[in-house]
Amino acid sequence: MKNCLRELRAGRRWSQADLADRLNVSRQTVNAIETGRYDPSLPLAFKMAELFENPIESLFFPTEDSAHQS
Amino acid sequence: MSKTAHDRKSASDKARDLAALRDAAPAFVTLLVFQGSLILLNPDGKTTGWLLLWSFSPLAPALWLMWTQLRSVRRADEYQRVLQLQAMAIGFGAVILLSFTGGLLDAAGMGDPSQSLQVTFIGGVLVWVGALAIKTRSR
Repeated sequence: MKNCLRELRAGRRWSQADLADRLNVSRQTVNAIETGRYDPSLPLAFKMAELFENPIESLFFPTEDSAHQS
Repeated sequence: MSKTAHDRKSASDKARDLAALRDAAPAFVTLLVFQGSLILLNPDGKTTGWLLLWSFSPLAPALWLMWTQLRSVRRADEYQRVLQLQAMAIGFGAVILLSFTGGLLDAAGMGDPSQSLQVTFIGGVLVWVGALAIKTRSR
């Protein structure tokens, strides 16, 4: 799954640690999500959507690979 | 190397690290004290009578350490749990391989089973901790 978390975070001038503080996760987790190494759980994804005041589908979008996996 | 604002730990990370240290440090010190007392009380390694009973005493802090590990997994966030599970799987694989190797050596009449057991235990823990350190390194 791809996401635009990095762009949204940069738009608010937050560091990864700042975002991690707001989501109550580790900075490593934010980094893994931003680089596509880890897809967050639904509760965490909803938390991100709420934080950035965007619908969840505008934050995350499937790649061709992930669409074929289901 | 000093941490910049970008690669600093998050507040929840700091809280988790502190809690893990508070949990594990007393258990680890107790384990060392119990293990040390065994060596001091019984330098020749021949356990009889009450010393035989006392030789099982390190099991209590070892169980305590297991409990602290369980608490650490509970405190971890969802991605850290995945990394911890992967590290445990690698450590478990190392234990299986080392014990299998020890068994093969024993079957071939080579090596000492008690030494194999120690190598398996220490090797398994080292591989587990090493895998965890590599997987959770800062990036």
